[in-house]
Amino acid sequence: MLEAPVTLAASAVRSQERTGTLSEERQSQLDALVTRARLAAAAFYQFSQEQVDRCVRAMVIKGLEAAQQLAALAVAETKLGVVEDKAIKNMVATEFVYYSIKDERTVGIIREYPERNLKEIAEPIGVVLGVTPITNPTSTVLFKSLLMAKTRNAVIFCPHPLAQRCSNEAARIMYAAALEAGAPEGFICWVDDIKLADTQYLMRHPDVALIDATGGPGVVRAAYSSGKPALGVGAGNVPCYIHRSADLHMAVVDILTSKTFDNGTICASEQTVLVDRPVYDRVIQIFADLGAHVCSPDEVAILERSVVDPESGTMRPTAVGQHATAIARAVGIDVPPSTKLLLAPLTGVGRQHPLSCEKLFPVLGILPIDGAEEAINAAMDVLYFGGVGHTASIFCEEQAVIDRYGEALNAGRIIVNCPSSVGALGGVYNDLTPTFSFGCGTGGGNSTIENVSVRHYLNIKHMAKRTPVPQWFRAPNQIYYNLHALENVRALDTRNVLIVTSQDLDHLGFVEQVRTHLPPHVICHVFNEVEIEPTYAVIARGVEAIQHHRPDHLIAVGGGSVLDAAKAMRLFYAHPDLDFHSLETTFLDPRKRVIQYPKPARDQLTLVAIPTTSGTGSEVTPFAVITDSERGRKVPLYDHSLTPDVAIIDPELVRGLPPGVTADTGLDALTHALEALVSIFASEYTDALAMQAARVVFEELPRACRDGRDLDARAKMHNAACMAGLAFANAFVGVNHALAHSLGSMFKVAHGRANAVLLPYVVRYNAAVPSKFMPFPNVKAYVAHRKYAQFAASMNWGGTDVPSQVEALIAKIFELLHACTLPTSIAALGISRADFEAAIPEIIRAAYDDISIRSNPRMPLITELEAVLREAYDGPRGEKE
Amino acid sequence: MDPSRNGNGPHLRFESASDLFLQQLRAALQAPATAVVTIDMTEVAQVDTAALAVLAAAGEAAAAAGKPLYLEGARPSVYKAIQIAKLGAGFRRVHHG
Repeated sequence: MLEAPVTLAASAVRSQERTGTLSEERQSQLDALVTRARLAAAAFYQFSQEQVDRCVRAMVIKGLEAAQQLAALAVAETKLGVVEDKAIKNMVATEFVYYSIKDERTVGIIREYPERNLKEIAEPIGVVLGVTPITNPTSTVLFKSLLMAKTRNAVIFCPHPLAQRCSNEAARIMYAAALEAGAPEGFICWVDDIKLADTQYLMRHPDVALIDATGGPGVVRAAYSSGKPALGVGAGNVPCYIHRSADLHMAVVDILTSKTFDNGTICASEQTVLVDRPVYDRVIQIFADLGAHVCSPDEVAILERSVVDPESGTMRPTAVGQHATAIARAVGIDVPPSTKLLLAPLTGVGRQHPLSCEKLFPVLGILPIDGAEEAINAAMDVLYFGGVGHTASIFCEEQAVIDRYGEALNAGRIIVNCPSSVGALGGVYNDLTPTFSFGCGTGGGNSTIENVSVRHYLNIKHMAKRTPVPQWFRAPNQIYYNLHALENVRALDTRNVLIVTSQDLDHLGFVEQVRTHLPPHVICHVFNEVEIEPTYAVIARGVEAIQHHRPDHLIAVGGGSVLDAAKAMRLFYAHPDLDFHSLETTFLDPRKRVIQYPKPARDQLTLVAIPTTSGTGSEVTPFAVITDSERGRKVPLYDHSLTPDVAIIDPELVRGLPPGVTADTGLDALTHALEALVSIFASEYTDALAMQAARVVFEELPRACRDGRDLDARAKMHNAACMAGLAFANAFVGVNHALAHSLGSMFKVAHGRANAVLLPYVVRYNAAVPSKFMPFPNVKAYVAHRKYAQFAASMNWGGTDVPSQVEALIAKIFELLHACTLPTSIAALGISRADFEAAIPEIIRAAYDDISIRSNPRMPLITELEAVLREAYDGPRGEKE
Repeated sequence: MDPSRNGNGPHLRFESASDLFLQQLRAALQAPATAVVTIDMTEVAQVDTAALAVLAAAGEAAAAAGKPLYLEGARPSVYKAIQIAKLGAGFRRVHHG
């Protein structure tokens, strides 16, 4: 006969004081038990899955062999329940549980999600304190022993004192089987001659890692109040609704099966049946036909007084697990010997109706009910009368009613068309996880609402590999460029166009220039109301124009304002109900933004963008800026659906640009290129465009500024602006734009010029080692300084290393500003130092609101931006404007 | 015992739980010349409950003698088991750096 690894001497138990304190001898014995379990847990940790599974299988076989014997022991010791039913419970606790866990991985990597680059790794918990109940004293031990072995934990069982012989025998059988199969010595321990104080001491023992308490509310409360992680499961009070659509015979048979199973000791068994009034009498009759005794009102009153404690409103322990006839005899109700169940018609549920409480014996409340809504409310009353989070059941053939019932009730298990007790155990009538521990969720004071199983006895670690996000390169369908590109307007498949522009450009003949290129059959309308910084009111008028003329193409001719307006007009024409203000909702990652733009319709208007400046790149970008005049702020719109379909880059249209505008817009293009180059979203695709665009700006902008009629320089600059646009359309910009937006807005500085005065200082800032890096999975190294240097080296600007090459780039930017007669400092814009200093906090606040800042290569800090702004205000080192 | 390893104390090879090992360890700890004792775990693939109990006793003996006990060559699964068993406090790990 195998001995328990550590058992406690009876002498020590005798010395245990009745007050609940423990003798030193008893404490040291319990300590030794825990130490033994701790060493076993450590040894178990090293087991492979195969070793574990071998132990579990051996335990299951021995448990099945002992099912009858343990059932008889349990009934003999506890005087509760039915041997045959307890044997079935023992078999469910072994065979069914084994079937559900045998293929589950519990060692090492237990699950992989390759598409998410995630792996789950099992880590045992250590020493678990298994507190087991009197109602299921052997099945619970069998169940927990299996799960402990499967998860490589050690367990110390604290059985209910009135069921300790059978519970400990179950533990001994499982332990012996496991040991024979190679399990570590001491991984299952149990406390002999247990008293409440032993359990309390162990609950607080520092080497116990988890308390797994199955039992009544007192045990569960003690477990949770121990301050240790606890799996506690507790009382139920199961409502059962029989809807008029139900199969009534099946419902009654199932309820009888469930409620009489082991004399009602399973806490998931039905406690109060709520029956639709039209079928109530029929249900009562079927119950009576099948062996239930339907109590008279007097008998109900007797039961209320005798099986429920009037003080606490809870069942009396003396009735638990007793047969219906035994209970009837004990309380003086005369029933036939074949009686299975005492059916107590109630007049309501809740505290005022004692028999609607949990009754772990074959006494069942029954109540007629008027329809599903009333049934759901009454079921809630039952659950909130001691069974929140546990189990509810329903017999019904109407799915909508079943769904409403399930949604409304706070129960971890909604058992449908099954006996609720066996149904909740799982695996017999349904596919619930087989268990002998029902989680009751927070409603029941539990940490889980699930059927407790393997996962609850593991620390499941997650190994997450870096997952770079997919990137994109999007561009308009067609880009026509170089001199006479406007000829391509002739090839547009259109019958009716609306030209969008400004009054100035219309008067300057740009509209006429486009119109002359359209075939004669094309009807051409003009909307020329766009102003600089277009407002939503202008967009609304533009939408009305589209609605009125019904064009198939929009041709936007103008600078950034006109092109942006046309993008917005197309959007709001296609989606008139779109909330303008919602579109400004900020976001961190365009793929995960909260506000999604509507998908463009297949037959949406074709947008042709013809820029008349060389800088914004708006003809190829998914951005637009609209002014909210009511709130006095600019609203940035961003979505790829905004990108024009066709871009026409004809230098003829920029020939007349004044030098100042040429310079401002040219520097805007350069800023787009250099910011896209170092953006965290930069890619090989955007780098190529950004580098080439920057090269062309450095080489051609001074020429274009000096002589606007130099069409070669104009063409190259026009293309450079478009290329820079393509780069930043896909890589975005950075802190330079964020600061320029707020500086320009506050001091009415043209956008390109604001960018220009900041650019050399921002390059120097981004080229330094960041104090904070910008988190982004696609960025594997900080490369901004190297990319600047690489560009400078490609331009042969000298420098022998990265710092000197970066300085060469900065010097060349200053040179370019001088060549284009642009200011090199904020002071040179005519802003007083006092005004500037006063504005710094607001400039920075607005910059942080700007989406551009989030793609900057380094994460800017407020103090750093202040420094950049002040440096930009003072101008080049040693040089004052 | 191989006192030459680590230069300053005996070196005991641990293979499995045995009284002999504990006797050797206690003798080594009692020798006045011993400054430290090193337990070589290189050959140990897995430690069972009994082995862990011996190691626990070794830790206690070293603590009682006031001499450090070094673990050398434990593979991670064995070392983790020692940590789970909470024997770590009794040992120092030889670090070959």
